[in-house]
Amino acid sequence: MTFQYRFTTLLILMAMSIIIPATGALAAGNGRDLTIYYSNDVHGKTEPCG
Amino acid sequence: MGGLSKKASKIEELRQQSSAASLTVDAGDLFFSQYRVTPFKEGQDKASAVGLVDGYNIIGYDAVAVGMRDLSAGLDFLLQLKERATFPLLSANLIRKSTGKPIFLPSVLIERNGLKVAITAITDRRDKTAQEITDDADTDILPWNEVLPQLTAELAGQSDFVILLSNLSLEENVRIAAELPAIQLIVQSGYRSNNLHPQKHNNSLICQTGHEGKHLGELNLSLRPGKIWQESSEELLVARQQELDRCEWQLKAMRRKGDPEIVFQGKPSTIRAYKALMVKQEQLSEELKSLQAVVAEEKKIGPTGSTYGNTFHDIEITLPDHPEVLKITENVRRTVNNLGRQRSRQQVKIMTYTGWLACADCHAEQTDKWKMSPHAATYRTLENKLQQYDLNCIPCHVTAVTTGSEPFALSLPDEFLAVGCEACHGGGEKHAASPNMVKVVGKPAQEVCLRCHTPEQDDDFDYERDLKKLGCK
Repeated sequence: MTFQYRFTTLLILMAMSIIIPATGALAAGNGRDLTIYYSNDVHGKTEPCG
Repeated sequence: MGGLSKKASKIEELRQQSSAASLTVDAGDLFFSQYRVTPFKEGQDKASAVGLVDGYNIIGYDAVAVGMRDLSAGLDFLLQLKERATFPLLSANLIRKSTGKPIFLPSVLIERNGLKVAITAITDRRDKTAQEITDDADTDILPWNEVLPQLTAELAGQSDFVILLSNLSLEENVRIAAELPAIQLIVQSGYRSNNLHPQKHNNSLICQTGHEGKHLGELNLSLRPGKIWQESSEELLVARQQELDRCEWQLKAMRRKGDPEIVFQGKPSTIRAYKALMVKQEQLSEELKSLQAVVAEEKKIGPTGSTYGNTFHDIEITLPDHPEVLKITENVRRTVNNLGRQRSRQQVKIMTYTGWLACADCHAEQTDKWKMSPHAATYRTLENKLQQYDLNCIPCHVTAVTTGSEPFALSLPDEFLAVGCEACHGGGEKHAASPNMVKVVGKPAQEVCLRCHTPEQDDDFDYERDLKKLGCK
């Protein structure tokens, strides 16, 4: 292989190692964590009686 | 249980303890409990609704759905609340007839932790017309299948995760999950009163909390490529353990007085229920053993799909109050009580009832014992909290009022300001006039007690034990 070919290949590989983690896509293996706090049917209650 | 300021402090505590990004949502039927506010309660109900908006603003809700009950005071009032709110009120299917456009935001897109989350909402109409619900002739509430398929496809293209806040029944939500797998989470409202642990249907989780703000749901998600929920055996283990705990608690209650097959002789349905519980206990115990082995195996391999864990937090009265939200709820309480006080000046005649003083004439021993019981002090507990004119609280703390809509509810004579004899034994006017000819109910049925001693208000209620505390017999 010529030097230029090897150098270009090396540059591409280096670029991919930076771009892929930075895409924000869900990474295989590790999940993206998110917590949902949820409520419903409060029916106008701001506090209990008595 | 319950209380907005306590819920606020709980959410704040949980957010501080967790390193994960979070969203806070409400699936609707937030502002009112009835389908139409009554003129008698309108002022109080609207004051509470405004307080809830202010409280939710401080908590920092990310989205709230428009439920059918939220329109109880009319569309115009809800639009005023929308202007006051810093959170979006969502409905994809409540539209203006004249323009065909949604009246509220159909959806929002929120970014958290590099994740794009789309949230949309559906309002229910049940068997009513939109005009009956909104009080506005230029409105319509479209069926979900005329709105969601296209909207969901758009949202799925723009986001990593789609949430539906649904005011529809579980049956309808299961159909939505079957037809629209892009919706991965459905938080529902409007139909049940109990917590619903997340159920997986197709590719959606469906869940909800119990009503009246007594519980907060916390769903912890770990999202992976392919967006398919992995059946989490660990999650199933927790759910089955909770079922087994409930089953064993019920068996213990039935065995309290001895062998249920002897104690409940003559009650074949109770004995059948007892035997069914024993079978269920055995099945759950076996299932738990298998799940424990599966969980151990999964821990070695690691998860391959998206996983979740769910907790329901009880909003106990022992929780601290969020100071800013507490000011709001105290202001609501004063406003509600003052509105009631202004209407309480009338002289009223209560038909059918006489008040406990009339009972004391012939039943002195019983009324003396009653005076020492908790029922005699129920109105005082409201006065201590400045809620004695709150029509939502009054029915369970006085005699002769069963809903907050009776016109005399705010103007009761003193002898009705407690849970008196007639609250349990029925109205005594005719019995007082002809005691030998007209009898009242002796021992009240358990159903009479359970009207007020609900699990949310009194989770330790025991009919036989607590009846003895009254000392009337």
